Amino acid sequence: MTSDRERFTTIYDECRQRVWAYVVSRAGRQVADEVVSETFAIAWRKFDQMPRNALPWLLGVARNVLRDTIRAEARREGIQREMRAWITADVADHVAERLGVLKAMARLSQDEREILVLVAWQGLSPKDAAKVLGCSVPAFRVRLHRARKRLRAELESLMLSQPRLVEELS
Amino acid sequence: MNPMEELRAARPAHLTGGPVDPRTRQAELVHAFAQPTQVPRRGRKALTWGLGLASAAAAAVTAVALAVGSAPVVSPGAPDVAAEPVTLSAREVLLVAATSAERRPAEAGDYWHVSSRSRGLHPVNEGFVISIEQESESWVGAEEQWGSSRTLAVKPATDADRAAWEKAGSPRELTFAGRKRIPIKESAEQPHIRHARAQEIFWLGRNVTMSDLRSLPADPAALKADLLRFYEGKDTESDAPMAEDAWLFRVTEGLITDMPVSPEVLAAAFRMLADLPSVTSLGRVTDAAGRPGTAIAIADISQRKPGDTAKGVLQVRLIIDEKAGRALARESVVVKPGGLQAGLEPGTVWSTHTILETGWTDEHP
Repeated sequence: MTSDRERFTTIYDECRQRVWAYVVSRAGRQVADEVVSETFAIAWRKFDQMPRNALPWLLGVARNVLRDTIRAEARREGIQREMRAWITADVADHVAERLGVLKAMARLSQDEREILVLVAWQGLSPKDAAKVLGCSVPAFRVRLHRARKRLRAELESLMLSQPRLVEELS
Repeated sequence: MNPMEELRAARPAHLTGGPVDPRTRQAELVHAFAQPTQVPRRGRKALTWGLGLASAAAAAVTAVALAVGSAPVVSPGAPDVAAEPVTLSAREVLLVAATSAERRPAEAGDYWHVSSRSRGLHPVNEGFVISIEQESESWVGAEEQWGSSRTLAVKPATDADRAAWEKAGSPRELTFAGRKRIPIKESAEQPHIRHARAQEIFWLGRNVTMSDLRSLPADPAALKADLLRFYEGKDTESDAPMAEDAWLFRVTEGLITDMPVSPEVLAAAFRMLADLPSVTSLGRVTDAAGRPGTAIAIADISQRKPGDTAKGVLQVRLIIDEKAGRALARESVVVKPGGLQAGLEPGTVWSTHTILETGWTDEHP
């Protein structure tokens, strides 16, 4: 094995599950393996362009693969199914707060949800998250601010109907 | 708690990471490394293969120089695209196939059913090349078997061959291999079904029975030793000398493509091939049925009879779906014309044998 291959394998091991988690949070589990596999195939093809900080770049590649290979409708259905699974899986925990915030996530738009996932679940800095989305850092900050506000608003409206929420899910 | 912290805490457990499933990891890395890492070289025509009859002309004209023993570069189904360099070794591909084969469930049934299609080229004495396409199916039980086969077409292989045939007055019957006469058939004939009571029905360098297949060792070294008991340093079809690797490849490709062996024996066969140094990988290809796979190959000498000096060189390819752990097809390509391939251009796909279906069933025709 050449040293390039070793380096690539190390990056794969570090980033694979995070790329997978990102794809799942965008389009659900069913297409995730396929998209991840294609993402790393492209990454190897473009290995000479891969920056040292590989994760944001890989997420950007995965984002393009998703857009180019999975129909918008399939992505939407996939993520709806996925979010139902998140919520039902967590019913067992009986943690109302977690349920509430996941339910609130489900009410956001795809773009808003993506921004929050990149920051809260992927732990990216605004600078790295902006790279994934291909926008400027100031523009990202504005969008993040809006998404957080929307999340808070949805969460509050859900809090008011909490009893109904639990009923709905049981 | 602020909403962002709540959100962070609410990340579903399965999205928090953990190790990748080792098989997924292996398959994904293999897939990635099968990709070219550099700009393809220009000015080098790709070899077209695994082709239907209509594009057979492309095979004859899109000849590339194939170096024996090296891994030539193949970009199937896209004749205008420059060839892609391939970095994946045959060993890696075969080891993945072995792992996948082991995962396959052991199946059962009364009859082993195989359905396949084949196509071969034959230079005829009239000065051009014809192709013969056939379809066959078999149902093999412990003591009896059924076979169904039909010729789909016997006709000039390429447009140029057709022109030559027409120029010769479109004879309905042609001569090849010195004296055999063969009629032109432009449409498929009815299937012809045969039934036989026989036990020795598979070929492993010798005729073997279903129970011989069941007793094959599931260890690669033991399997190799078992098969080599019947190797005498010569070709399976003639007395011409044949190298051990080439002989093992020929015997094992049958075992892998269409014989009812257990998942463990199949895996051992893949591993045994993985250890043969003269087997090379040709990278991603498409078989004659349009299915993607990875081709591994070995060089083979072609001569009509021992001592024949007009020897040719063929590249014998096994197309495998390594993720499914099975073989899709075997094909042979002319590297150096000679022997049975005298008169054909280098790069011509001389024969294809495409396995459409294999499996156990309780029914027979």
